[in-house]
Amino acid sequence: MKTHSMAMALSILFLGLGSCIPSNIIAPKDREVKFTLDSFHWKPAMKKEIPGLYQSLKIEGPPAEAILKIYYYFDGDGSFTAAALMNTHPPSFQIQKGSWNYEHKKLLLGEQAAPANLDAWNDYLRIRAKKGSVILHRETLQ
Amino acid sequence: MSKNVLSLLGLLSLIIWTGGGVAAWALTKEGVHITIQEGSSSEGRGHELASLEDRFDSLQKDLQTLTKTLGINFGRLQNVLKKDFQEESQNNSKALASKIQSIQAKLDSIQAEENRKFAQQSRTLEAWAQKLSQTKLLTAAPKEDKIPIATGSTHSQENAPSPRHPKSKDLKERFNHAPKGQKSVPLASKPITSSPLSKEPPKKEEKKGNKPKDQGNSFLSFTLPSQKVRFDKRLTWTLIPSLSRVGFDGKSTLHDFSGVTSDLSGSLEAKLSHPSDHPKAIIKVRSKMLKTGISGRDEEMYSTLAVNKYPEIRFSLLSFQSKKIDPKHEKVVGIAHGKMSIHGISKEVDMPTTLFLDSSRRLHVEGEMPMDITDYKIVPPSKLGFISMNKMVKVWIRLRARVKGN
Repeated sequence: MKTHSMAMALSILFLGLGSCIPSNIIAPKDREVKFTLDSFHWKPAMKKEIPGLYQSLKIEGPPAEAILKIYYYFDGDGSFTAAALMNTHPPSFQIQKGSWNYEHKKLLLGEQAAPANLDAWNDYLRIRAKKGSVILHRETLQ
Repeated sequence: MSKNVLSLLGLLSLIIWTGGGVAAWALTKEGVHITIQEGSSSEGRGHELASLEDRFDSLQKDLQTLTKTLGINFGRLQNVLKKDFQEESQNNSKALASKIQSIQAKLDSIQAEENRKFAQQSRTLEAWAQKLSQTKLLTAAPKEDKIPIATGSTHSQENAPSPRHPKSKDLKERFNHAPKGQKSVPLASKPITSSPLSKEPPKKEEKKGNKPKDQGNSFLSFTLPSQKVRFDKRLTWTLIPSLSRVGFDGKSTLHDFSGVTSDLSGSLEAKLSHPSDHPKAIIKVRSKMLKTGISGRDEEMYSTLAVNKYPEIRFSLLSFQSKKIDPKHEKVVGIAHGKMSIHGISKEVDMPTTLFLDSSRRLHVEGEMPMDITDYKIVPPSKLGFISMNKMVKVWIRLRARVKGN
């Protein structure tokens, strides 16, 4: 009888403790991998913020089918060079270079690219073009 | 005495003389006007004015005459110029019309030549197509296009040619696959309706740099290949681990928990518009990378799963039973039937699954199913007889895959 009471007490204790530990079940809507980048407080970039080396963290839109990764180097003298790792087999880099300009909150890359919106937040840049967008993170040059 | 008288008289006369003179000056000074003039006369001046008037009249008349003459001459000049201009315009119009006619004639000649070439090429292509079909007929087994009885599904000849007909495949590829960067036009599915020559001008424009900004296939200065992802095309997809996650939801006496991981790999091959047509898929998960959020519990889980002995959890798709195909939204719902291997035990399972393409042309695969872990000889962990895990767990997948590059 005494043993049975102790077992009951321990059960109640553990059940009580259990109710104190919150469930960490992942809700079905949260199962998908989500980007924290989407919650950034983007604002139109300033020209002086642009020069530097960047790599893409997220590519959205139809171009994501073909591009796996993008690297940009914007020089302060108005020139840029870029490399995109293309979704070929095996993946291969496509290199571009030219001049860049930023006027009226629009980024102009070379002669062929249409003006794109450019936003900034801390060490991040977001380029929004007609066909898609890319979020870039500033990297340090070694 | 006389001297004195004479001196006085002289003095007196001198004073009288002087006084008289002064009086005379005083009386006459108001009436005297002195005018200094150089030597000219009023008659001479009158004559000069008259002469100037004559000259002025003469000049005025000359000016009027000149104005009239100029007016007449300008009028004549205008008429002459007008006539010349009209004549020149007519001449130019004639010359332009002549040139246009000449260009038109050249264009017609070029068009005729192109039409002739196109007709010739069409005939050649048709001949090759006939040869291809003859080759197929010679090499193909009866009922080649029929569904294999074993699988009970239709199979796309276009995307998965039979390995028994390498020649026909080669020939078909020659026709259906244009050189890199050009769109292929399958002969079997699409008749030749447009001239290949008609596609040349845009290419020339590209070379000349007349391509509109970001038109065609370019993105932020990069040139993109033509879009490959299509709902109605058999494609191979590679899982993107950083965008994928698999896991399970378990229940225990203390509290419920999930175990998840993105440490996975795998691929899928299917035609989404006909997902039952020989789909292939394999998903591999590193069991030691499953995390529940509590390290002690993880260690116990690894021990229970014997991760060192069975480091991989694997799912191999055997077939797919489609329930709903929505081409408009590029979405498929069905049951994925496959073999699940956990803890060294393999079992066939059915997982309700949804597949769809997103705006980034990635394939999403979502599914979940209940699982009895004891089926895989996994003993539900238990502590002190009070804390125990339910043997039933919910296994789920949230995968994203990118079409495999060529």
